[in-house]
Amino acid sequence: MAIQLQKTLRKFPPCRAACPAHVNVQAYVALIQKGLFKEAVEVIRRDMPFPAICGRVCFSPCEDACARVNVDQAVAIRGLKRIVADIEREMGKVTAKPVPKKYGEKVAVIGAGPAGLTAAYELAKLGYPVTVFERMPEPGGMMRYCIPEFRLEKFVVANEIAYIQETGVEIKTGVEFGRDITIQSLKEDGYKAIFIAIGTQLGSKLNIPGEDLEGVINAVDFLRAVNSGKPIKVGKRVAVVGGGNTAIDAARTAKKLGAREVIVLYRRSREEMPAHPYEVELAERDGIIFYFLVAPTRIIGENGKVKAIECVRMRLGEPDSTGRRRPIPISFSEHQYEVEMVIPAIGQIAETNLLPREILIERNGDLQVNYDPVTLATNIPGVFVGGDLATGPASIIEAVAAGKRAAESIHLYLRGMDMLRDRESQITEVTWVKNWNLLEKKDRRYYPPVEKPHMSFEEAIEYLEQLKGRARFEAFRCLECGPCAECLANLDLCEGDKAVVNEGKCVGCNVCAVVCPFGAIKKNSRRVAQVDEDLCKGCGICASRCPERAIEMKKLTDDEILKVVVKSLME
Amino acid sequence: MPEWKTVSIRQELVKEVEELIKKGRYRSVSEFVAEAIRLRLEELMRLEGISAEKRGAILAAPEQVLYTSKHTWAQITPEGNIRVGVSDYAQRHLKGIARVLTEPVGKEIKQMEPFGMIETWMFVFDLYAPISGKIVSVNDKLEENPQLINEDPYGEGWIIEIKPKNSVVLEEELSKLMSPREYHKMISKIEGRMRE
Repeated sequence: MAIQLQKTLRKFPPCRAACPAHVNVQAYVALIQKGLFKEAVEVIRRDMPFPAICGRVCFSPCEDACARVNVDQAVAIRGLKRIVADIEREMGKVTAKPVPKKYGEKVAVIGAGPAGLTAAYELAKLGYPVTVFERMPEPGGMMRYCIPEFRLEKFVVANEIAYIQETGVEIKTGVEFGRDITIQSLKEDGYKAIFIAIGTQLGSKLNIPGEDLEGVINAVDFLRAVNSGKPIKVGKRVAVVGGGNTAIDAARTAKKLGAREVIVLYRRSREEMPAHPYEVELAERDGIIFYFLVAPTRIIGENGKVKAIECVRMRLGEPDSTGRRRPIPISFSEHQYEVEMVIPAIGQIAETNLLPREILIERNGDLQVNYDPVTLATNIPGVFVGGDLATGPASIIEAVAAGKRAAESIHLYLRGMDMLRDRESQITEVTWVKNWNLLEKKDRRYYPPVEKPHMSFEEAIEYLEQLKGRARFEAFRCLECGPCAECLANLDLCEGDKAVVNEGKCVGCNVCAVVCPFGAIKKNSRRVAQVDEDLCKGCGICASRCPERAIEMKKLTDDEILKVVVKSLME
Repeated sequence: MPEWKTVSIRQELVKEVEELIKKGRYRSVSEFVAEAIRLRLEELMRLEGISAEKRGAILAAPEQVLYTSKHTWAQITPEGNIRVGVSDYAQRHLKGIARVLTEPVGKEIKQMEPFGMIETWMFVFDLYAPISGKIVSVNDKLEENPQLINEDPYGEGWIIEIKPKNSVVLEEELSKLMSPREYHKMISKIEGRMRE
C-alpha cells in the first residue's frame, strides 16, 4: 500500500525506481527464481492491479534502467511479468478476496481507465466504498477501446477489471460525466471525494484544408470504432499521419483490416519518433511503409471523398523545448500521395468542456486543468484529477502511478491529514550495484511466446513446464541490485547465506555497520564486527564493502554452528 | 439396487411439466423426472466432494453421450440436432479458458475436422466435430462467461448444435464415436502414460 511504502522508504533498485508506479520488480523476479509464480503475481498486485496488461503493453522503463545492460542485456522484466500473470490464470480462475469496508466515506471515480481503476483498487484495498463511473458500455478506457486486439486481448482487460471489482469496487457503465452526473450531484449523493480521470478522448486536428472530407478519420475514433466492433471500411491505400504509438496502432489495425498499402507520414526522422522502436519494427514487419520528414499540407478530395494527401518535405533544425529537433519545411518540395483514407494521429486532447470552470486554467491559449502535481488536488476541496487528463497522453503505467498517487491523497484528505507530508521527494535514488565486470556475459534475449500453440493436453502440460523453466532461467539473470527483495512473502526464502565475520581480518572500521540496511551488524566489545543472525537477510552489501575482505557470505552448516558454540563455551 | 418409490407431484407442477413438454423442452414426463433426479444427484455429489469427472461418468447416461477421441462429446437433442461440447477430462485441463471461438451459424462442418477452438491464456485447443452437418446454433453464453465449460461441461457449457445431413450418414458417423465406457478407458490409459 502506497502509504506504508512511503514510510518504510529505502533506496530502491534501479528497476523499481525507474517504474512510475514503483512496482517491486526485484521481489517478483526473486520469487520467479524460486519457482513461486503465484506469489510473484501477488507481489505485483500489491503495487498495481494490471500484471497481465502491463506484461503485454507496458513500455517497460524498468528494463531500460536494468543494471544488467552493463553485463549483456537487461533482464526481460516485462516478459517475466507476462508469463507469471498468464500462468496464474492458466492454472485456474483467479479471484480476489473482497476487502471489508473500514471507512464510511464514499469515493467516486470518474473514468474507468487505468488511472481511475487503479485509484479505485487502491482505495478499496484501504477499505473505502468506491464507485467508478464510466461513459462507455464497458470499463477499461483506452486499454479496452484504443489498444488493438492483437496487442492486448479484450479478455485480458476484462479479467483484470473483474479482479478489481471482486476487491469491492463498484463500476457503473453508461454514465456520462457532465450529462448524467456532475461534481455537484455526486456531492449531493454523499460522495466525499471525487477523482476525475477522464483521459484525453479527442484526437487533435491537423488544421489543414480538406480535413472534413469523407475518408478522414481520427486515429482515436478509428481505433475506438474498430474495438467496439463497428464495421469500418478501410481504403486500399491508407495514410497515417504521426509518429506516436497511436499512429503505429492505427496503421497496423488498418493493415489487418485489409488495406493493401499503409503509409505512415512523420515530420521528423526515425530517431525522434515517440513510438517504441520495438513497435515500429513490428509494424515494418507487417508491411507498413514509413515516410520520414514529410508533413501534410492539404488533403485533396474528389466528389467529397479523399483522393490524395499533399505533403511537404522537412529538414531538422535546432532542438526545441522538448529536446527534439524542430522540423522546418523545405519550400517547393510539395508532393502528393494517392490515398483513399487519412488517419491523423498527431495527439489527443482532453474534453475540458466537461469539467467545471473552477479547476481549469488558461495556458498558451488552451484550457488546461489546474492541479497540484504532488497531491493531484484541484481548487475544489475533495476533487482530484489525474492520468492523461492532467498530464496529456501518456502510458498505462504512468496512469497507474497517478491512480496510486490520487488514492494516497484521497486517503490523507479524508482522514484529515496533511496531503503534502513527506511527499515532495521523488524516489529516484538507487542502491548499490554489484561489480559487473566479474559477471559472466550471456548474449541472449528472452521473449515469452506471443503466438499460442495449438496442442493437445499432454503436450500442453510439457509446454507449460518448459515455459516455467525458461522463465526461471531468465529470472536468475537478475543482479539483485537492491539489498533485500522485500518480497515480504512470509516465506523463508532468504534463509541461506549469512554474513560471517573473519575476526582475524576485521579491523573494526565500522563500514559494514553503516551500510547494513537491516541494522544487523554492530561492533562488539572486542572492537570487531558482530552479525546478528536473526536480522541478517544475506544481502551481501557488507561483504562487498568490507575493505579488509573480512566478511564472507556463507551458509553455516550444522558442524560450523557446533564449532562456534563449542568455541564460545571453551572461552 | 435401490428400492423404487412412489412420489406424488402437486397438480400445478404437473401442468407446468406438461407445458414444458409441449414447448419441446422435455420429451416426456419421465425425461423431466430423470433430469430432476440427475440435477439433485449432481448437487448431492458436489456437496460430497466427488470430482467432476466421476460425477460426469456416473451421471452421463451411456445412451445419451458419445465421445470423440479428441475429447468432444455429442448428444442428440429433442429437436434431433446434435449438441456438442467438451468432456469433463478436457475441462480439467482447460482451467484458464480465455475465450471460445467457433465457426458461425450456418457453416457446414465435417466429422473429425476442427470447427473452432478454445483459447486459454497460454495455448489453444482445437475442437473437433463429432459428426458432419451444418451448425444451427452457438452457445452465446460462452461469450460472456467461458468458465461455464468448467462449471458444467455437459450442460450449460455446451458449445454448438449441429444439424446432421441425413439419418443414414448420422447413423454411420455415430457408430464411429466412442461410448462413455470406451472413452473413460482411453482417458485412464492417457493418464497412466502421463504419470509415467
